[in-house]
Amino acid sequence: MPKFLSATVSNAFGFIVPTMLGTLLFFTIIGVFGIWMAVGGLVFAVTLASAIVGRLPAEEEMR
Amino acid sequence: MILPMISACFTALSVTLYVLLDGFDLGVGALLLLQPHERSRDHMVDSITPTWDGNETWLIMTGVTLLAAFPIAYGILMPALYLPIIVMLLALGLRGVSFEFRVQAIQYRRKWDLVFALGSIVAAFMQGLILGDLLQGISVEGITFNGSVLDCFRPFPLLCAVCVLAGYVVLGASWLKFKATDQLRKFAERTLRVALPLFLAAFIAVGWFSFAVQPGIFVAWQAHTVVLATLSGIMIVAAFVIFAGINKRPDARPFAASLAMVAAGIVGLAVLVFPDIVPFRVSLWDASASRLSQIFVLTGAAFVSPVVLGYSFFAYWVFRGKTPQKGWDG
Amino acid sequence: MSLNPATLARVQFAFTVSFHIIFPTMSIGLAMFLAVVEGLWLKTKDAIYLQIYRFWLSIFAMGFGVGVVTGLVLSFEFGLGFARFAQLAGPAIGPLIALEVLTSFFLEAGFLGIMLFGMHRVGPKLHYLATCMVALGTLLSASWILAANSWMQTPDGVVVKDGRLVVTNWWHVINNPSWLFRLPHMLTAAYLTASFLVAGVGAWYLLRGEHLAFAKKSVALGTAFATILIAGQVFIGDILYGTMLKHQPSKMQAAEGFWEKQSPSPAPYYWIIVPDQKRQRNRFAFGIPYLGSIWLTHSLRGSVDGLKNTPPDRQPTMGMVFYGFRIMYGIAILMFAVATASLWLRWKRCLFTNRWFLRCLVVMTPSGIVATLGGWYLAETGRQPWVIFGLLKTIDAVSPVPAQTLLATLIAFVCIYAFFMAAFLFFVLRTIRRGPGLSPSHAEASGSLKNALRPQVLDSANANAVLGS
Repeated sequence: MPKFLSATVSNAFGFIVPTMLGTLLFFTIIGVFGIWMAVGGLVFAVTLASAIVGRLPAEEEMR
Repeated sequence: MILPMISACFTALSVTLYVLLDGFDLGVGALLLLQPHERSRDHMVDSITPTWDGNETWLIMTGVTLLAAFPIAYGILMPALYLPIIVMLLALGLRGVSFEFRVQAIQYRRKWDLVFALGSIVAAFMQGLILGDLLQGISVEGITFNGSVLDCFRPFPLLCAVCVLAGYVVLGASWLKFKATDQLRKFAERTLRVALPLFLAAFIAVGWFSFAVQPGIFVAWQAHTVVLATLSGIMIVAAFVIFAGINKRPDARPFAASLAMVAAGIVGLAVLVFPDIVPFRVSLWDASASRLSQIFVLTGAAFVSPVVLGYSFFAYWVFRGKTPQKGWDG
Repeated sequence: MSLNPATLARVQFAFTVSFHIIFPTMSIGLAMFLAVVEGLWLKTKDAIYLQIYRFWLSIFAMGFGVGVVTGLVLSFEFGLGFARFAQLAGPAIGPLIALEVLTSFFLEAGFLGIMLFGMHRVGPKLHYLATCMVALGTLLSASWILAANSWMQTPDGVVVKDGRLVVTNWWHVINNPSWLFRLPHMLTAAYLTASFLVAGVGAWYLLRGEHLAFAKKSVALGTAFATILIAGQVFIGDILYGTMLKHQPSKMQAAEGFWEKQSPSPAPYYWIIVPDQKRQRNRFAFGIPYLGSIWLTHSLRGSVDGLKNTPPDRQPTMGMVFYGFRIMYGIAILMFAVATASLWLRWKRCLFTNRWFLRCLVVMTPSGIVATLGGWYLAETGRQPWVIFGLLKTIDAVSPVPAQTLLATLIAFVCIYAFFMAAFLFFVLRTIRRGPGLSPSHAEASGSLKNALRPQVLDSANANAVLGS
């Protein structure tokens, strides 16, 4: 039972965290917190995306 | 003062290149209807496949140059020629699309051939209609067209349409003689023997009736008799060369002569119509845009046109000689 | 909708230009994608990139062809439906369009032949140059056309003399107030369109378990580009919003769905409205509270300007502007969500196995096209009732052509364009169904220089031999 619960919690966590982070990032980039935060948010987003895309293989097997 | 002249020359060059380059394409398309053998039809289309799509660019160039350098004329001509222009555009579109698609779909190829042929014929016919309507004169008040969209369907423009279609068939047939071998070449020669007299008869009829429908033409002949007579002479000589060369070698001669004949015809038209941009209605200077606009277009044209022409000649050179029997596949 | 010439002329132009824009958007995006993929092939010598290149090359060729044909119509249609506009604006936008044809169009036509085909003839490096030149050509085309359209939105560099427009400063005509903001927005939209097309097709194959290597690489590439691009796009979009607020306030007032001169504070963000233009109010409105103030005024209680700030005879039709904007923006949000999800799934190493995500990608395949159309409807209907903002109204620009004629040709356009679209979709779907690697270069089979410089079909084996030599 606890194992099942933690799987659900883990899935929910897996869904909520990126959603909240993504939403925050979105609001930042469209300038809700000002132009400089927007620029910073954009730079952060692009850097993060480049880092993840560039360095991590997208699946279990090695590329 | 001189800028509109130069722009007009560039427009005329654009029209001429379009007519010469797309003329034989449309002619070959029209001839598809007369060719019963499938393999020969494929061969005919193959002969124009390598180079057709650059040709239509000159049509766009003509329209856009008019818009840029002679916007008043553009705004008069477009509504006046509304129906033939739209029908022509749709016909060219169908022809263009059927080029791409007839290769992809082998079982529908015959149906696409029909679309291709009809598109070519309708486009050619519309171009002749436009020419005739312009020569007869469209209804203009100030800078606005005030006639009816059905004005272009008068007898004289219809006669011109037949003449232009015949002219394109002459170009197309002589191109096929140049590019084809054996049976297809014989087909081209037979067609040429009929098409050339037909074209000449239509052309003479057009010339004859033009005096009746458009007094301005008589005035133009009086003003530029020598030039027009010379051009007419060139056309007659060229027609002779074509006729004499139908059954003989070199195969290129009738095609070269037909190009010369059509080119002389276009130059003649330009002389007849000068100095108007909307023939016999609005002059170059009344219709032109201001200095900076003309300069902008002409500067771009001066730099880029040689490059484009160079590329086009290169393309034709790469495909010089006879079109391979098996087509361009493998 | 009445049967008057002005309305019919607008509907006809709207139809032909909407149809047309679909294809250059794909062409610009795919051309750049192809340049990137071919570059990757040259660098890594991995044959999968060549496979991806050849698959999308044939689709690119078909789309390019339909784009040219429908573009030919547009170059005449300015005058056909809107002769008075052509006469007035010709001196300004005519040269811009002429330069577009001269530089980009001819550039593309010139190198397209080699690109579609001459791999075997000209060697890999020159071929790559050709691909890059075509991508550059589409970019330049977009720049010139955007300059012309932006001039219509924010005209500059001209004076009116004796009822005609005289250009006084070409730099101001081209570099008008909105051009440099709208250009990157449109280019990014095109690149996003291609990214989602590629990712969507890859996801489709993954869901069906076909062409796995091709599919995985496609999804990886597509989502990678989409992620970086959408971040940039929403940033650019917001900047552009601010610019248009300054230069075309009436458009942005209509875009948000508020009527009153000052919206309630805090302002909601409307998603659904039923506007009543005659009574200058919404019969129904549904939105998210507070979000309007947050997104539009960057504060918690800010008020938004409503359409009544503009006199009624200068107001655009709110319904079209609003929904054009919401469709574009809504899809942008979805794209951002997909991008975030893709990053998360990469982190979790299950980008290719989460079936819900793959289904999302498939549904989002045409999202770029729909968003681009929405954005253009915002741009063009929001500019109304002007055709040249502040200078010429659309109803004063119409050609002297009777309504029945316009209706007849409109019907003709719809029928024939429907045929083009049906044929295009048929062949694209067939290409997708056949899958990569098997289709003999369809591009090579289609017209022109392409067809003639014919090499043998290049498979991985002799491709690498060519590269090695």
